[in-house]
Amino acid sequence: MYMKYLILLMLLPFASLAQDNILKGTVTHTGGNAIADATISLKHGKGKTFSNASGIFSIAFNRAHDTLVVSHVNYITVNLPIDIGMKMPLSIVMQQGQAQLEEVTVHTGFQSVARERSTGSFAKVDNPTLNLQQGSNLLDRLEGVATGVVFDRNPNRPAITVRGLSTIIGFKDPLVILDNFPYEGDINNINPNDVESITVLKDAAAASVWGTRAGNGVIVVTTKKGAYNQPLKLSFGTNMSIGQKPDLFYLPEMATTDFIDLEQFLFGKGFYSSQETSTGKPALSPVVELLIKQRNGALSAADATAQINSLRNNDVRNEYLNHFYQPATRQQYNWNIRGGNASGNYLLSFGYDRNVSNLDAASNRYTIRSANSARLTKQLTLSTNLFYARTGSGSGKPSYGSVTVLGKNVPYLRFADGQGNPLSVDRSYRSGYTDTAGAGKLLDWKYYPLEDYKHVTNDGTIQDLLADIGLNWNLGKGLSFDMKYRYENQQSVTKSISDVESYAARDMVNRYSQLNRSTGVVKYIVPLGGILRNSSAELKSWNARAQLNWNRSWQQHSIAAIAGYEVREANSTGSNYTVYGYNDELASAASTDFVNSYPNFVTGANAQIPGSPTYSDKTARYVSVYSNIAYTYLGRYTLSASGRRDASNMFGVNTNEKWNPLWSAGTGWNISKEQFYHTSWLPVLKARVTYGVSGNVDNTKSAVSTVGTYAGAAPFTNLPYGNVFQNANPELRWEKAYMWNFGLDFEAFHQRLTGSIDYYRKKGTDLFGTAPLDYTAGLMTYFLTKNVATMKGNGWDIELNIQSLQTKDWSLQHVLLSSFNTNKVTDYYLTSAQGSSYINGGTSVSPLPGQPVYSIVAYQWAGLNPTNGDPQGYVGGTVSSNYTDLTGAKTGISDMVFAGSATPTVFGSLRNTVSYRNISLSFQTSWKAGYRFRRSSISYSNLLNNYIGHSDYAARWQKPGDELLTDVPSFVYPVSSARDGFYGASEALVENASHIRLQFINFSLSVKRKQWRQMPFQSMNLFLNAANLGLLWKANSHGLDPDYPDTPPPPKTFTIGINVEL
Amino acid sequence: MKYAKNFAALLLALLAFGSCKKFLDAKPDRSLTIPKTIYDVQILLDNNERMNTNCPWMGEGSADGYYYTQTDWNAATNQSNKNAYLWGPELMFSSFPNDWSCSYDPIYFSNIALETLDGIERTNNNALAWDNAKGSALFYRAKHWFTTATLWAKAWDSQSAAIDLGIPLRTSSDFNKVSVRSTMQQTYDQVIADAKQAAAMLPASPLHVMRPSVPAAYALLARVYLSMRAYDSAAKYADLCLQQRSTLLDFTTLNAASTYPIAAFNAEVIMHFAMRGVPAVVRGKIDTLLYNSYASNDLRKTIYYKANGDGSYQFRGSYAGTAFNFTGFAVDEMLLTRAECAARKGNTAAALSDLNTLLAKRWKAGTFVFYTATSPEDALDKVLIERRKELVLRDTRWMDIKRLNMESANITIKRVLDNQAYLLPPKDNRYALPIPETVINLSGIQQNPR
Repeated sequence: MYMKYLILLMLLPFASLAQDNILKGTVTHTGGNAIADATISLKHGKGKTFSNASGIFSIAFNRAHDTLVVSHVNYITVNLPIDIGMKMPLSIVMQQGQAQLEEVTVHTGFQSVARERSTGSFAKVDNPTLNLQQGSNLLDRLEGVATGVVFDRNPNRPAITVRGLSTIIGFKDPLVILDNFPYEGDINNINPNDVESITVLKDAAAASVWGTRAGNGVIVVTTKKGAYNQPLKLSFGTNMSIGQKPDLFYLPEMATTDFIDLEQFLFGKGFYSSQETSTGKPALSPVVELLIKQRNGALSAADATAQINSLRNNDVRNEYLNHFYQPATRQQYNWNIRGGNASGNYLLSFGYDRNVSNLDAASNRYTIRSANSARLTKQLTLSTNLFYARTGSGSGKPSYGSVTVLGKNVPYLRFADGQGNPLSVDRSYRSGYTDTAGAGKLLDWKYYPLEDYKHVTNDGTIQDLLADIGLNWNLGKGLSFDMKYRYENQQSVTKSISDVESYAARDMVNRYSQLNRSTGVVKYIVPLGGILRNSSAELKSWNARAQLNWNRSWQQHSIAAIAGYEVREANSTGSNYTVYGYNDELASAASTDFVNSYPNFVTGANAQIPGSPTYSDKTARYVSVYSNIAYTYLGRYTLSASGRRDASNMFGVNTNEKWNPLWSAGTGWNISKEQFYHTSWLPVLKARVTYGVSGNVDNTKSAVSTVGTYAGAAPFTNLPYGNVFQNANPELRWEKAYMWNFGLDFEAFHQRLTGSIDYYRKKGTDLFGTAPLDYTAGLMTYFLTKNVATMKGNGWDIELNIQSLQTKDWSLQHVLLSSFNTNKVTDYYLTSAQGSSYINGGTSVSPLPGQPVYSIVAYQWAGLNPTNGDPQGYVGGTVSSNYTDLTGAKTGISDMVFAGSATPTVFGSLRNTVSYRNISLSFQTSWKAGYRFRRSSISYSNLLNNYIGHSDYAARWQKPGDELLTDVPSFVYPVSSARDGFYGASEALVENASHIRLQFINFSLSVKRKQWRQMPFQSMNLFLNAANLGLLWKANSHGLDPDYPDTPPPPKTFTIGINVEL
Repeated sequence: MKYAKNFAALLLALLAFGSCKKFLDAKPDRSLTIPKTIYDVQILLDNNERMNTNCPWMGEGSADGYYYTQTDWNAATNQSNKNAYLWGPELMFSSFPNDWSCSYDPIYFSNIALETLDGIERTNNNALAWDNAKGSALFYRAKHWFTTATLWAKAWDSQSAAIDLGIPLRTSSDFNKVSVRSTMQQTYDQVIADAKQAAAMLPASPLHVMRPSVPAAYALLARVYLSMRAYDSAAKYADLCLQQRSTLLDFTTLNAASTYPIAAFNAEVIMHFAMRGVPAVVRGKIDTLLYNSYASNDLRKTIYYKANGDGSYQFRGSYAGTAFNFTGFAVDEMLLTRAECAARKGNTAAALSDLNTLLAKRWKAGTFVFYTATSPEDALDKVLIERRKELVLRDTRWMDIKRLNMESANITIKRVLDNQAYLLPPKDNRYALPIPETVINLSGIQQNPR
């Protein structure tokens, strides 16, 4: 298909033109600066041209009287009647108009490129689109508004992927560029209100300029700036959100009464007897305690049954919802002042956010930003950018599942009695033991969930300071030299205090107490008092860049080139320490022996007191050279190339080997600017082709083994001791991705339809994957990163903006983003191991060529055995219930079912906006399809050991005939973990993950002063927003949201806000 | 174009000043280093959580020191542990880490140590530290190879050692090398050679009993030779060891009221090793016949054991001073080894002398009547009975059953569950445990037949 482009490209030098009279001129805007890319045409004549970077144009005309039409998306169109005798060059001044198409330039972090003259593939999201979604996190606002970008809620996979560009090993986050440099700090430090636009670099040509770090995609955040010759502008915005309580009943918990029945059954079988006699006195659930009392005769059978039955109607989720959860609130305020004259501009902004979570954890954020530019001389421009953020976070109430009996979530726990008095829960030890063990000499050993969180605080503070300074030296003739420097310092401190009344502190003191039973004297090894755990981290980074820019147009040629050299260092240090006997009011603490071992009060086993200090100090250094050149001929034909080499201070690699080149090349063709192009309904048409190589290196692996010393001394010997922290892996090669991108940009029907279509083909070699390791080698790991496979993939990214209705008052707009992405393994390097190694929810590279790179791999399912409800699979083609064979070596990779891709192959969004005068209503739906997920179900061994039940328990096989109605295996005692493991990873639990989500609804009203004279503002914008509205449709029939199969989906959130300009 | 030239020159200058070699040589993590000093090696060898206290438990898990009641069996959910109890063919090592990985982990550390020491010149100034490090690395490697062989290879048989399957002997830290099973002869040759070389380099008295020493190397050799039924050599090394370390714990001084009456690193300990996480039942339900075999005046009956309250007894006499079972070397084992070898050589008096020396420290004061024997065979029987009663859950029993059955002791282990008896007759294939399936799949080494 790209043969066609090649032929057209070869023809290009021969397209010469015969001309009669030439009109020459320059286009500038009211401020005096040149306007590039203005469309120059004649009302009656044929052909058109564009102004170059200096605003200069020339166009042939052959009629005595005609009208020159100069148009540009950002300016009001100029119609100038002409005749032959006019004085040349013409000077055309355009006035700023309302931006109709915002996406004029894209920012790569190194340069701003006119989209029209770029060859790469970008997704640009402007400020109004970002503001359609609320929330404090900037990146979350990209969901559903940038093509080719997928958000994944599976914590084991990267949260954001761009065109599935990354593998799953190593650093998972995309590279975030804040203005010109990578942002090292916490993304939550960035106030979304400070952001002008976000550009996502999608193909190799766009991303290769960022080198190896571009492996997971590059997201360029451009902040708001002041503008020259702009009067002072003041704006203010605020909004308030409220989010519902999370839906805990979404969780498929087992019915309490079933759970109690099961405990009674197990008690009868002696299941709890070894725990009951254990020297560790491990806590038992309330029902088991009642059954023990009944057995020992301390409670009559009738009383025990009555007490147990009274628990049957409890559901601990109600306890959490009633006592701990509340609606979440969020407030945001921001102020912004900006302006500028001919020689300088400035911007100052303040932001304040205050969030209170569903669990009453308060957090706040202050941001201050100042951006200034000054033209020092005609040649020199100085720009500075100062950014400061301070975020504070506090702790809240216990979240669901955190109040436990020996780490187990007991479904009928109660936190308060009928009168609302706090009830205690046996957290670690049986209360029958803790009540008497200390003979009254130890601290109270009870845990009260309703009280305890009041004695535990967990305060985090992050302060981030970022300073940019840049000097641009304009050398004339399109040549300029940039020097940029950034310094960033982020300090975070987390201070966790469990005060003297907290369970954690009392438990710690008691556990190490030594009680002399004859004298009754208690010796405290852990000093009496609270516990302070302090952890602090500091990040210091600096970046320096020297870059030569050449932007020049002459005659039919125009060139935009950069070449630069960059040095970067990021140093992070951290320390942790624990203090016992802490009193926060007095800020006093007691000294503690972290060296010697002391006996545990309960078990008598000796152990050291945990919490001796630790320190860390890490430094990453990079040196890079890069270049990017784009040459445009006649404003129609663009050729581009980029290259980059990086070096870093990775362990064990010689400096020479640290350099790795990455490159890309591309071409673009503005078809609609051709003389022969006269398709009036499609006035803009541009084709782009790029090819490039990007690479990914796993920085955590090195060619040599490294050892390190542990903090503190070895237990018992008090000698320094260490470990091997990196295992030499000299066979690891770079993972490389080769990508072709074919793109088409267009505008049709008087801009009623604009958009772009990109098709890409990708080939990945030496993909990183986790490979099972023959652990006879030692290493204390059974999986290693290795180069495991090659892959092929292709996909489409389609973006369409449609204006289906446009009248004086009404307009109807649709934005459709649609992506398709398929890939498959073409070669797998390792000998495939047994099937069970790949049961992991699609987080390792598929070992079977032809299958999607990340697949859901499952055991074949042969239904339940009709006589006993055992789950059945196939071994060697015959139905089997031998779980050792089914989950072991007898089941190879070829016996497994590859149920489909684990990541969406089809995804996109549709946003519809209806406007009536100054009122508009948008709503966005998004979808993901063509992939699978694994739902959870009952695991009896998990149920018995960890109290993790599942509502499927009620649907289990109980009698012959049930196998026709259910796939849930029968409960058998003793339980078999292999049987549970087989069922849990079988085909029976693989579901179609396709779904359509109603992402948000946004209502806005904007008023300008000319519409309402009495209004004290220049303009005002009022909005209402509803987000996380849930699914409109899902393919699975289990009521599951495939993005959140195991946790409650984020609750519905409603926001009201106002933005005004003074 | 003049400017362009100037700036091309400037850019070149920038590139040049970036003598980036030095800049890029900074360590990415201050706490890490590429091992190149004796200190770097020693900190690995002093990681006692990996080198000493992560030893396998499957030997005792397969032996006859404990039992499951039917109720406990039903309540137990860890299939690997249950399969181990029945010497089950599969899934004994389905989880990670497991006994196999924990046995080979210290061998990896030892190999890194040995490879690093190869690059460090031994000089007069560093000789002590260098010898200690090299001797330690060789010792640890030999010790863990030997333990691995007692679990995953059949009992030593000099007739067939040249063809019997031994264990993989990895002598390089390169994990890309494929594991290969050596023969029994190669396994034992390497273990003995390493242990002997270690004995020549280690200090007689270590900084701590977590560290190897000359007597520890002798104790290892005594155990290795005993497992080979090479009684002369076993006696020789037990004797060499006892010449340096012979202090015994006096049980009359211990406090039976303590949770763990025997302290860690006590006077009897030559070198400390301990098992990794053991299923509670292994020490929680001690074989009834074993418990009943102690005389009432035998202090071990109260020091070693504690009643569970349901008629069963749990073991609490670990020399590790905790619930974790001690598997290291101690004076009592050496005395019993020397006594056994003497009895087998017909030296009844020497055998009884060692046995009585030990037992005199185990009984209530004034109650112990010195053992006598009618014949060397009688002495041997008494020594072996006391060996079993003394070395409880010390990871020697599995090895002992294997070697004693080679001497026609005819020990059959029996389990009863669900009214079904499971038997492990002498010289059964199952005395060599199954190698984890993952390892078999990836390396292609030969699995032990079941």
